[in-house]
Amino acid sequence: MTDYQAQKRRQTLHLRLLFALTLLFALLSLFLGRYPKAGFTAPSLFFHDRLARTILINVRLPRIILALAAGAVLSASGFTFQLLFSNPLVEPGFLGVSQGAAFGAALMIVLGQSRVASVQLSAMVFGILGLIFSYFLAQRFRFGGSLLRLVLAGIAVSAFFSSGLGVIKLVAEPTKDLQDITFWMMGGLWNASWKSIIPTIIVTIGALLFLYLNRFTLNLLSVDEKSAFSLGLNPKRQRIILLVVATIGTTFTISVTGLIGWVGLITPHIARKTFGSEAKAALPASMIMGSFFLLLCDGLGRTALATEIPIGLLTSLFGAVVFVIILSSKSQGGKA
Amino acid sequence: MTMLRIENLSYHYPNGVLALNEISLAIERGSSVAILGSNGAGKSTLLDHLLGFKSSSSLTLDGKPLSEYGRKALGQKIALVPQSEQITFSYTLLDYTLFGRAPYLPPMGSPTSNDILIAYDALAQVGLRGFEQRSVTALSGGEQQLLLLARAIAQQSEVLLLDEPTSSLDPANTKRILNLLQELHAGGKTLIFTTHDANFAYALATDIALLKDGSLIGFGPKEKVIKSELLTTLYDTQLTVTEIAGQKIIF
Repeated sequence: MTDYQAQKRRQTLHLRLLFALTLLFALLSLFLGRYPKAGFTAPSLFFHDRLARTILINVRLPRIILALAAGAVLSASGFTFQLLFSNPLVEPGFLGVSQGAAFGAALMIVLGQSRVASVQLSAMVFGILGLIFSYFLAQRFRFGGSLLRLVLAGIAVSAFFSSGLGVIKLVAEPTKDLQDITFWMMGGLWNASWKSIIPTIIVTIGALLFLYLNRFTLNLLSVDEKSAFSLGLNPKRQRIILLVVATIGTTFTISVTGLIGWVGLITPHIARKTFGSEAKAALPASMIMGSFFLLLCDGLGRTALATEIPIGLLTSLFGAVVFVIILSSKSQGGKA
Repeated sequence: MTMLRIENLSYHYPNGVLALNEISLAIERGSSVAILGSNGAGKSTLLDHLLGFKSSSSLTLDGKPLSEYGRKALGQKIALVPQSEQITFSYTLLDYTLFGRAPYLPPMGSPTSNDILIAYDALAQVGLRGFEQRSVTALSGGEQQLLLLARAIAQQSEVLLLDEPTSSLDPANTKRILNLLQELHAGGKTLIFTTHDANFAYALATDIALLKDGSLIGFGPKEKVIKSELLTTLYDTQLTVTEIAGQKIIF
């Protein structure tokens, strides 16, 4: 009992430290950018340069808040998907959600409805449709186990939406719509403004809070369905509710940020390796690590080169490297 | 006193095949009931109904239809020990045992220090005390079965449903599980378990139900049911029941 309590106290302390470190890094990120030149902006500049102040408050601050929220929700959604499908290699992008959202967003852009609310709503609807299609298609497959069927169905649905996206790009107006769609596909936080992020932040906080409060249930849903039922759950209903919440969080976020891959796959792995598999500590750790990872990629993207590197490219680059390392290591399910 | 009652339960698989045919059983509180039959006889399907996983109006628990119990209320009454469980993530043994406390937690709640004490106690009962921080993915088949039993003990239910509890175990682990289940039964738990091993059923059960092709061909106190002719019909092969040093042996 004492060992257990000591371990939990240690985990809580580490979580707080990680949270403080992420906030500190967020604060530091306010001084990263390309004004007046690429790199670090001296804090003293904000006191006597009005433009610098405006950039700080209206450009960098919403962008950093969006990075924190997007990182947390993408990671938490990945974590949720992995537990609900009992598969550490699953994330919303694998089950047609991201490609569905991309299709929905692009559709709104070419239809001339480029208002943030329209794009977000369409991305969300098509993201959920992607998940539903994957789920029902998997039920009809007659090949492999249930998880393999699901992943294969996700690949098929993603391919379906990708081809739809290709058609949209083909007919998109090349000087504006096509450019918007292309940048959206690469992912980036340059669209962040107070106006554009507020709905996303509200939905994100709601989704994160719901997932956090249900973290013990998430553990239970990672065991066999019959066992989860005997433990007093209604596994089918609770699984669907949690999936829908995670999907709404993901699609709302990527409708503003564009496609940002790998966060939902990599950070839950690292969280489980460092904090253990039990979601009580691993889920909040995953959220914080997701925020930190996105802040890091955004900071690099804004300062490493003269032109901004889309964040989706950096998360894919780092994600792929970490993915290879994880798959090459002995234990993939996380430390006990 | 009858605790669980099944009346005329029939069930067809989605493909139309009859899985259970007019099953009627009355299970007494504190009894230990074996559901004995060969593979594909419908044992696990019957267990699913007893768990409430497959819904039916033919089952009552303490006089109330099983389908009228809330999910948590039923979880406090009946616990399942599955044959095995696919465990993907490296939970600790303590984490996994704590899952058994779920029916007692409020919505969105987490285990309390009292739940942790109960989980420690459950692990001690199955002989896994001292291994609380080990990973569940590192367990052998026998240890995993003990862990699943510990989780069900932590659930503190009146009834334990066990699906083929020893089918994949070696003789040493089978004996260990048998002793544990005998202790739990002596402590007042009602046990209902499926098995195709007539010797195991005879060693643990007070009553035995014989299930063949979805139909009940015998049910009653084990001494009355374990007969050569009934077992021969059950398994479609000649079986003999003999007594050696006061112990019945079926071969």
